[in-house]
Amino acid sequence: MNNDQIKNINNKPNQSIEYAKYLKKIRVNKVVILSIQIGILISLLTIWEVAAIIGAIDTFIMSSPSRIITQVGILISNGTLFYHIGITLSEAIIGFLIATIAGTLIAIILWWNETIRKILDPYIVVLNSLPKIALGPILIIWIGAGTGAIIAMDILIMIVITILSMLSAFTSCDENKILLLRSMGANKLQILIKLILPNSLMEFISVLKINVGLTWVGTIMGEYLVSRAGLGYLIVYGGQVFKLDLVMASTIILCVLAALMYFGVVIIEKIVKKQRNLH
Amino acid sequence: MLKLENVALNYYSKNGETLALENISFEVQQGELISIVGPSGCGKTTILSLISGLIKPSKGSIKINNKDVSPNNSGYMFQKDHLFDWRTIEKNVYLGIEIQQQKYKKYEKEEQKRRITEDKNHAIELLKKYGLYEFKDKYPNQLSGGMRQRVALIRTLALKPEILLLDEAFSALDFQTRLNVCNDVHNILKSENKTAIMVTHDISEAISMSDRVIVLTSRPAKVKAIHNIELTSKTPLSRREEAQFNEYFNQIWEELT
Repeated sequence: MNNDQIKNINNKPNQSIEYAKYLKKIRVNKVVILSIQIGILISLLTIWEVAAIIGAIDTFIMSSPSRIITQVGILISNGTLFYHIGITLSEAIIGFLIATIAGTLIAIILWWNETIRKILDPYIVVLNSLPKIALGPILIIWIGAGTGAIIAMDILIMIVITILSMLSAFTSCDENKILLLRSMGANKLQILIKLILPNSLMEFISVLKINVGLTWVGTIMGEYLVSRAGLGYLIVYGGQVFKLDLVMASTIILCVLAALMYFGVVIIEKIVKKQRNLH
Repeated sequence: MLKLENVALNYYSKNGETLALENISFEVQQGELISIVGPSGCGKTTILSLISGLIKPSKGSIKINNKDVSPNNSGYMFQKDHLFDWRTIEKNVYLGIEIQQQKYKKYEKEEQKRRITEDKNHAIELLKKYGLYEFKDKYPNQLSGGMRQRVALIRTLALKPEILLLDEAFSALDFQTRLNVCNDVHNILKSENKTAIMVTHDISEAISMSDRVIVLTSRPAKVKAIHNIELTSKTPLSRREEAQFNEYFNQIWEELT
């Protein structure tokens, strides 16, 4: 018995040696890519740390990995870390949910009624091209310099793109599929529920992916404008008092939170694809 | 059972008013399979939309068993199967039943449930009868084109339509699959004793499948000729072998050009 045959015993029955090799190649490739990714991160951190220790960079301006870790430790020990994370996270999630749900509902209304769609079209186009940050002062005066204004800013950033993307998904549905339902005697509500909505589910997930990124843009922008707490506030405050450790620590926490939220959406996508037998 | 009398249809668009159909009259008997052929763009598909009741004629009348047509009388089959990717085969076949549930609203809850279950059982029977039951839990993307088109037919038959409308139903399939699906569909329609009207650009397909072929003129479409197809073989495929087949073909070909 040669080596190849021995290996083959460990594999599932009916699997050729070539196929086992092919699978192995895929696995090896995956591991290589992951190790390079981790390697890049570790080397960057190491270079940064070493440069700080030997004095090649000014840690007052550049900070360093160890100082960032110390800073996070300080934030944890004085109990403010989770307070700030909690505020920013809740603003981001509330804004995300309101903008996604309201945007989709508005898109449904626009799909339902072509006249309303035509009337509102120029307004939506203008609102889409307007830099929402320009509305900051108005929001602060109308809503007040607090959480409300931050969430409002967050919603503004996401809602127009949500409406446009979902509307385009709804209206791009195959006309003949609609005709099929109508020939069965379906009314408009049935067409919406049986066809338009499930047909647009993958686009909806794309919108979730876009919004899960945009909600952090909106929240941090809002916090830059008005807040007295939250990660955006920590970054602005750290910048003003030149505490770069605080700025870097807050930014990294932000990265982690944004990535976690994104992965949440990716998991939803995987579940949906599995249910629909898509790969 | 189906009767079109002096049907005419005007289209309105920004470019003006066009007369699409003029003076169309023909009758179809129960269990008959009729094909409509004609130059492209002449309004073949429009006739199907009229018979389904989705659009109303400008003039004339269309009756099924002496009653005005409505979408509940007829079932459509399109060029694409339009199976919903997110539904299993079983759920796809139930689509029309779900849509038409409201017609049972007049009954009590228990009776409603019983009737819906009955309809679903009928759909399952059809799947079993035509060899698709074992695929009921699969998704459309796991089936071949020919099988998908058969599922689409069963989805339509599940609603027990009085008349079936086939709009270029086979033209998206490759030739070999197409011949097989034509055989299958012909067999299903005949054994269920269904009345059907199919629109096609393929003269051979029309002759091989139908009891009669209606030839239309170019727009505005009028009935140019109606051919009784007297081929004796059972399946469309074997009917193509008969000597008379070519005669019909040449006749219709000349009428179209």
